[in-house]
Amino acid sequence: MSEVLLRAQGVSKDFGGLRAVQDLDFQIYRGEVFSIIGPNGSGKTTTFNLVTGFLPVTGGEISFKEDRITGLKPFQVCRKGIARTFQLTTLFDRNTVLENLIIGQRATRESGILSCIFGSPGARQREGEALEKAHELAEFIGLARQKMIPAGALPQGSQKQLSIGLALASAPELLLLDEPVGGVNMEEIGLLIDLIIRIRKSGITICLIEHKMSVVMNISDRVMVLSYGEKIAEGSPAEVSQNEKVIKSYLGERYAASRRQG
Amino acid sequence: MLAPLVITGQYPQHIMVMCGIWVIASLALNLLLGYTGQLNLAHGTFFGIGAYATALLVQKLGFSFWLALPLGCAITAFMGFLTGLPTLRTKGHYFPIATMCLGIAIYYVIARWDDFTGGARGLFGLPRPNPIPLPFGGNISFETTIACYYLVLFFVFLTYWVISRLVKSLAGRRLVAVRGNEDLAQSVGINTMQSKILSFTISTFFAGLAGGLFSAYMGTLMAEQAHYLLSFEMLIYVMIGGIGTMAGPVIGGILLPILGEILQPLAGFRLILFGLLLILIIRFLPFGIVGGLRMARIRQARKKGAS
Repeated sequence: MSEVLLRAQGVSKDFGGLRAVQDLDFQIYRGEVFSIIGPNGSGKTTTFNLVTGFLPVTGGEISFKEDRITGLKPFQVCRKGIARTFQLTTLFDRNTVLENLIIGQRATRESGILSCIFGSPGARQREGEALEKAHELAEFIGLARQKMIPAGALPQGSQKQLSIGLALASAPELLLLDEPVGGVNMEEIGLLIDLIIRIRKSGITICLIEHKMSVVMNISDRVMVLSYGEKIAEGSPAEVSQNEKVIKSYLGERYAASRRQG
Repeated sequence: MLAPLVITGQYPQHIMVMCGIWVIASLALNLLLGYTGQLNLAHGTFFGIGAYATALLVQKLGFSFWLALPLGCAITAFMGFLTGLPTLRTKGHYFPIATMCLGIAIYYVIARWDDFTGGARGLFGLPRPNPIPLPFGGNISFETTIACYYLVLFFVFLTYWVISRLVKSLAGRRLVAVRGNEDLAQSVGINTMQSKILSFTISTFFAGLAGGLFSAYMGTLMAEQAHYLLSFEMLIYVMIGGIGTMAGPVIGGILLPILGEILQPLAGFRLILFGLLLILIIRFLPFGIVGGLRMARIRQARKKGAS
């Protein structure tokens, strides 16, 4: 297989006495769509928070392009090339779609305070570039006609699109999507899946957390299943969906047993 | 701007100078509060630090006002920077609380340090800014109130220009992002702590500027000029004018001190009126006068569009 982009080794996380993630090992390869699934409370979002520095790890190590990223602050992780979305869609609500997409480009654009105030040619050029890129991104995520609308006023599906656009604005190599189609209607799900496929085609590696099995099975190359903070299975969607342990943790002991007999 | 040509009374002119000083301080407060989302309740204290720093540099070290003023601002900004390092780590209500405590502590230092700040007696006999010599003989002197008015007006424009340039730039968008959602700002690569410290330092710099101008104009300084209640006064100017807008602090900083003077005969009742006004504004115009005007304009545009 191709190059390992992200590597987690023996990662653990305790919340007081509760072990949320237990000795987790996984790799994400460049160019793939890697999904993390599992029942509620199995440690999926915690894993995202550990990777992106929103939570410190209790043990273990995470590296990105063979470069250790454990212990970095979230903004530093972002500047390394990992962007993320949040489960509860968060945007800069009072700012327009276009402004959101400009703010999101911080990671790729240095802009000194004095050059901003005095309007040096460099600063003006960067502002122009940022605006141009924001227009492109708005087209790409399918919000070209809503550019001037405040983010908070968008319908749920469009907010999801914009939150992905905001993450893309930092020009990541790895994009972490936390339930990208959670809480939206069928038509909007189609738009979002199409967007995810187009992002992947543009060469960005994707890791996503998802509940909807149909989404995971259709677009993922590999799937990792978590239960009570431990990895119980990993493989292609077809392999994982046949796995005994996975069926047990999703559908219960009894269902698994009846399947064995039948 | 040309108002002094029309308004000739000594007293109204004095009020206009004071308005200019409050506008500078309110613009500075609004940078941190309105655009970065952090309520600094020691803002009035930093105004006082700027005033005392400038005055002491002139009086004790014999500096020229033109050297003392930028130095005073720099000292205030440096104090702001040092204050920001620990206090800006706090979240939610703890930042206003921490800064208010600090403001009270500094106020007592100024009010009790007799040898250095003159303690409760204060400092007096501070000279007006040195005259600026003109290249073809003669000079610009600042003995008259009108001259001080134009001096302050110059700094109002300078402050407005710097802050409006800043908030409209990419760097300013980072501040707005911090106000919007700190976690999200971090997730798109913004160093939120650095942005907050930067905003705090610039905000205190201009608070110091307002203080420095105040000390030279008034000629006397009392510890009251560093009192934390001053922060609330400036907060009211910003809130009533329009928080998070450039015009808001200007409108608030001009309108309210004038209103205060007009209502002077009411003495204590004037404060009750201010309180009432503030409650009404927060309830009905959360973005102050400027926000209200904007809403009205939008509504009018919609009506036109509908008919």
